[in-house]
Amino acid sequence: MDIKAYIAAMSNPACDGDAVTLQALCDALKITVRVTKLVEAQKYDEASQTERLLASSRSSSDFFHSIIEARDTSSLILDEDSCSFGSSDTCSSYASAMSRDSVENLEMRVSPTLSAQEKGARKRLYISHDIEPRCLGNVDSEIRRFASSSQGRLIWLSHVGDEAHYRLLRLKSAFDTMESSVFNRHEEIMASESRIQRILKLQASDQLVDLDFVEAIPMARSQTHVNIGVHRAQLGNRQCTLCLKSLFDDPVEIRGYFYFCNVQCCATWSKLRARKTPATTQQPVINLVDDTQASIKRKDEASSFQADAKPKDTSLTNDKSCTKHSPHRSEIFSRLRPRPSRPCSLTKTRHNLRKHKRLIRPVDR
Amino acid sequence: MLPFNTEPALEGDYILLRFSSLLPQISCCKRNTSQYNNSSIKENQSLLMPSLIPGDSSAILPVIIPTANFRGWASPTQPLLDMVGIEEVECLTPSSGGPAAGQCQFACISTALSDSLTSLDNNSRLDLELRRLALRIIETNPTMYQDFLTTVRVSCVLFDNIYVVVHNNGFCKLLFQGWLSHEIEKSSWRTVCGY
Repeated sequence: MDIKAYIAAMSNPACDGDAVTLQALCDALKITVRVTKLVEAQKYDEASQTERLLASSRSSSDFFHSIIEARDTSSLILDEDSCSFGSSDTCSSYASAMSRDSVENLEMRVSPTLSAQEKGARKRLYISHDIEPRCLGNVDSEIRRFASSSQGRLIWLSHVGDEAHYRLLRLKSAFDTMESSVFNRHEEIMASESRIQRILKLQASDQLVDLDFVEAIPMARSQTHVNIGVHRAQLGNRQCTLCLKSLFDDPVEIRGYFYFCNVQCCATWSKLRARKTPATTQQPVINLVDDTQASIKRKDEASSFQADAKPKDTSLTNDKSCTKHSPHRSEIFSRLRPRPSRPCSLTKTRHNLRKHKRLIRPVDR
Repeated sequence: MLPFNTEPALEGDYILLRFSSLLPQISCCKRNTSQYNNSSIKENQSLLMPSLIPGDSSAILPVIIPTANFRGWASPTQPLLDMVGIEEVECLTPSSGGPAAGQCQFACISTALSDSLTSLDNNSRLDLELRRLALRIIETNPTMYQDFLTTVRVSCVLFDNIYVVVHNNGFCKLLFQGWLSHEIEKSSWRTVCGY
C-alpha cells in the first residue's frame, strides 16, 4: 500500500485509527499500550497458557528478585503501618483480599439461570502483549517534547465490539467496594517496580529522551556524574526515577538525566542497573554508588567547612577527593556510557555528541 | 488511600497488577482452587504473591463473562472490571464538541496522558494533534511502517511432505505439511496460493 495514500486517507478525522497509527503513537510518545478484548471462552487453555507465561516470566521474576535483594541491601525503610516488601504475615495484596470464589462465580452472580444458547455466548477477557515503542530514525523537537512528558507510561485500551472502537481503561476514582487496606504499600511498590522494569527496557534500547535536549532553558551542567543537592529551580516538575516521588530536599542527579529523591533510591537504582548489565560492565555502575557516597562526604565537608563556598569550587575540590577512591573519570565515563547505542540518525548522533562534550569537559579542564 | 491520585504515571501498572491477580498463581505453585477461600488466605500467602503478566506475552483471564443475557451495564466486561476497581471510559464526546467518531484511538491516548501532555496550542484539541503527530512519524519514517502496509502474497509449492512458501518480499520458508495456518489449510491451499 502506498504510504502517501494511506496518510491522505488517515488524515481524515472520521477515519478510525488502526494498528499502524497505534504503533506510531507508541513510537512517538515512547509509551507502551496494552489492549483488552473479549474472546470466545473456549480459547482459554490454562495448561498451555501457564506454561507459556512461566517461560516468559522467568526473566522478569529474576528481575523482581534482584529488586528485593537490592532493596534489602540498601536498607530502604518503609512506613510502619505498611508491610515490608515481600513479608507474608502483614501483606494483604490485592489478590489476597479479593475472594477467588467471587471471581469464579461472577457468571452466576450476573445471570443465575443460563440457557444453553446463553452459555455459548460466554466470553473471556484477552489481554494483548505490550505494544512497545521502537527507536525512530527521524524525530523533531516537537515529538521529543511530547515524548519527554509521556515516556514510560503504560496505557490500557479496551477494544469494543467488532469495529475498530477503543475505550480507555483506568482506575476507578472512587473505589470503595474493597477495604482501603488493599491499596497498601505492597501494591504500590509492585506497581512502581513494574514501571521501573519498563523504563529499564527503554533505557536498554537507548530510547529514553533526554529532556534537556528540548528544554528552552538549558540546565546548568554538573561537574561530576553524580551531583547531590541539585538546585530546585533546575528540577521543574521532575520525579524520582525510582519511586516517582516529587523531588524535594537533596535530590541526586546522575549523568544529567536520572534524578532521585534521595541517596537510597540512587543506590538501589545503581544496583539494579548493575544486575541488568553484562558482567563486563558491572563495575562502573557500582562506582556510581561509590561516587554517590563520596559526593555525600564531599557535600558534608563543604557545608560544614565552606559554608559560603560556591558550588563550582566545591565540585572542583571534590574531583580530587573522588580520584583517590575511584578510577579516573574519563575511564569511568568510558565504561558508563549507555550500552551499545545504535546510531539511529544524524540527529541521534548529534545528540550523543553533545552528551559526550558535556561529560568530557571536566576531564579536559 | 488511592495511590493513583498522587502518581498518575503508575495507573497502567496498577491495572496490570490487578489483571495479573486474576490469573492462576503460576509463579509459586500449581493452582488449587480449594485453597482460595477467605479463611485460608493468611495461611497461604505464599501462593498469592502477585505475578505480573510478562510484557512479551498475551493472556486470557480465566474469568467467564456472559454476554448473551447482558443488560444494564455499559459493557459486558464492566462487572469484572468493577471487581478489580477499573472502569471503561468512553472518550468520544461529540455532543460537547469533543472527539467524534473516528477519533477514539487518539482520544483515549490523549485522555490517558492529559495530566502530562499539554497541547502546543491551548485552543486545539490534543487528540487531533496526536493524529497529526502519528501521521508525521509515519511520513518521516516510512521504512519503519512499510511492513505494516504491505499486502503479503504467498505462493506455495509442495514437495513430498514439505511446503515451500515464498512471499512477495522474497522471504522463503519451509513448512511441513500440517504446519500451515488454519485458514490456509481450511480452504484449498492450492487455490488460495494460486498453485
